[in-house]
Amino acid sequence: MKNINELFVSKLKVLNIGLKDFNGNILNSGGESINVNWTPPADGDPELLEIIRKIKESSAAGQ
Amino acid sequence: MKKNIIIQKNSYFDSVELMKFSKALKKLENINDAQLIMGTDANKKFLIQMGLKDPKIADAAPLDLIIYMESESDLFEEDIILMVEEVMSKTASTTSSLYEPSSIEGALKTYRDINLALISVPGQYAAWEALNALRNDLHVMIFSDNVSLEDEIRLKTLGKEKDLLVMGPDCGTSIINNIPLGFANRTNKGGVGLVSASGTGLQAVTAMVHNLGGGISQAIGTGGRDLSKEVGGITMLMGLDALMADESTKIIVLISKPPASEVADKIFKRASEGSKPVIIYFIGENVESPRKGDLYFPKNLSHCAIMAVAQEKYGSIPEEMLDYSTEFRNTPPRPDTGLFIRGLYTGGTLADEAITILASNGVDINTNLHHKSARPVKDPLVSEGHCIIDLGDDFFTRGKAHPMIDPASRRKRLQIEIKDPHTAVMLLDIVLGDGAHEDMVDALSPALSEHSGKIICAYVLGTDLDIQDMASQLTKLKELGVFCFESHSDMVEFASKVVGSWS
Repeated sequence: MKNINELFVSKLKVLNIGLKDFNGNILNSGGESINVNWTPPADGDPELLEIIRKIKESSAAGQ
Repeated sequence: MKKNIIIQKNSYFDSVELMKFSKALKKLENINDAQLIMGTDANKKFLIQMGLKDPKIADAAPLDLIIYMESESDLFEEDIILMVEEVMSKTASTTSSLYEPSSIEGALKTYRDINLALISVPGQYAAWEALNALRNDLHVMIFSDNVSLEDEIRLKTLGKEKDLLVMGPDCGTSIINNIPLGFANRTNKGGVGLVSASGTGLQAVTAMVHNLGGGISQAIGTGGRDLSKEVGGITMLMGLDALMADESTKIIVLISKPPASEVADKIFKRASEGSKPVIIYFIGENVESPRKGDLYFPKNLSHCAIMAVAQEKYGSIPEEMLDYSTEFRNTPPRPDTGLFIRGLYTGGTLADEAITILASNGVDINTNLHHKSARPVKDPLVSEGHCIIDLGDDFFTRGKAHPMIDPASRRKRLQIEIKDPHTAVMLLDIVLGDGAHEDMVDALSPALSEHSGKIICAYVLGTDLDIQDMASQLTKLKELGVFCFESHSDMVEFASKVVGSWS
C-alpha cells in the first residue's frame, strides 16, 4: 500500500511543532499528539541558522 | 501612569500563547496595558515605534521574553514577574505528556508510531523543520506562512518522491482520519473526500456537508500556491490519487482559486481518468456546463456541499441539483438609511466568493482583494461604495493576530461601518471551530447591538460538534437582530436582493 493510503487507515499520531494550542485541540478532539518543546534553532540567529543549514545540506548530499 | 519593561532571558513562547497571556494580564486590576512578546528584530521595532525608548529593548535576543506593562501605580519588578508567572500557569495550553521532546529525532526515539508533523513555527524556520520531518518519513502539514516558493517546491518534490503528503505551506485547515488539524471544524466521518487550496473554502464545505447529514473521509489542505504554474499542483494531484484509491471515499471535491491553465488541464485529465465522481470548484471561474461525464462544476461552496452529500447518500447527483438558486419567500427588508453593502470578512475565500456573486448580480464592488470583477480600494482602512474587505489580508495581520482569533480590529471597524450613514447592509462571516475565537458573537456584540436601522447579515460557518456551540452563537445573533445564514452564497444573494429592491 502506498504511504498516503496507509496513513488513511492508520491511527493518526501527530507531532506538534509550534503553536501549543494545536496540540490541545487535537487531544480535545480525541486524537493523539505529542508536543515538541520547540525553540528557534541557532538561538534565533538567522546567520548562524544559515550556516548550520548549509552544513546539514552538504552532509545530507554526501550520504 | 507607569511603564515597565522587563526582559526574561531564554524564555521562549509561541505567539498565540503570548497573546493569551497578554489578554489575561490586561484584565487585571491596576493594569492599563500589557504586551508579552519575543525579542525578535520585528517586535523590537514595533515597541520602539510605540515610543518605548528603554535600552533593554535593543539588547533583547530572539529567545528573550519582553514584558511590557503599563500600570496605574508603581509596581516592583518582582511583583510584575509574579503576576506574569501566575497568569502563565493559569492560561497556558495543556499538553499530553510530562516528557516533551525538543526535536523530531528525539520524539521519534520515544514515539515510533508518529506519522504526521504539524508545523506552525515562524515562517523562517518552517521549511527547515518540514524537511527534517520528511527525511524522517513523516507526512507534513505546514500551517506557517512566509515560506519561500523555492522551499515549497523543494519540499513537495521530496514529498512526491517518498509518497508523503506535504500540506502547505500556509495550509490553515485539514481533517485527517476525522481529526481536525489547524483551524478546522469538527465533522462526522463519511464518504466525502476533499483537496483544497483554500482554507476557509475547505471549512465551509466540510461544515456544510456535516450539517446536511453527510460526513468527511479526508480533507487535505494544499496551501494557496499549490496550483500555481511553479508548484504544478503536486499536493492536489497526490491527494486526488490517494482519495481515488481510498475505499472510504465515495466522492471527491476539489477547491481552488482558478489555477494556472496547464495545472488545470492536468487536474481535469487526472480527475476524469479516475473511477469516482469529482466536483471541481475553481472560485470565480465561469462555468460553461455543470457536468462533463463524471466531473461536476458547482456554482458556489454551498452547491459543492449539496452535490457531495447527494452523491454520498444516494449514489448519484440528480439532474435538478445541477443548478443552484436561492429563493427568498418574503419581500426583502429595507434599511432605514444607507445605500451600500459593506462586508468585513475574516476568510479570504468567502470575501472572494462574495465579490463573485455580487458582481454577477450587477453590483459594483470595491475591495482590498485582487479580483477581476472588482475595483481596488484606495485605502483598505476606508470603505468606498459597495465594499468587501478581507481583514485577514497581510495588510491587517502584519505583526498582529488573525481576526478569526482576535476580534478587536473587526469590532472597531464594524463600529465605524455601522455609524457610516452610507452603509445599508453589513456582511460578516463568523467562523467557528478549532483555532477560532471562543465566542466571536459575544466579542462583536458591542458593535452589533448599535446597528439600528441597518441590515446586518452573518454567515455562521460551523457545526454542532464545534467547541463554540453553533446553536448558541446563532441564538445570540438572532437576539441582536442579525439575519443569520448557514450558507454563504445565500447570505450574499440576500444582500443583492436588498440593494436590488431599490436600485
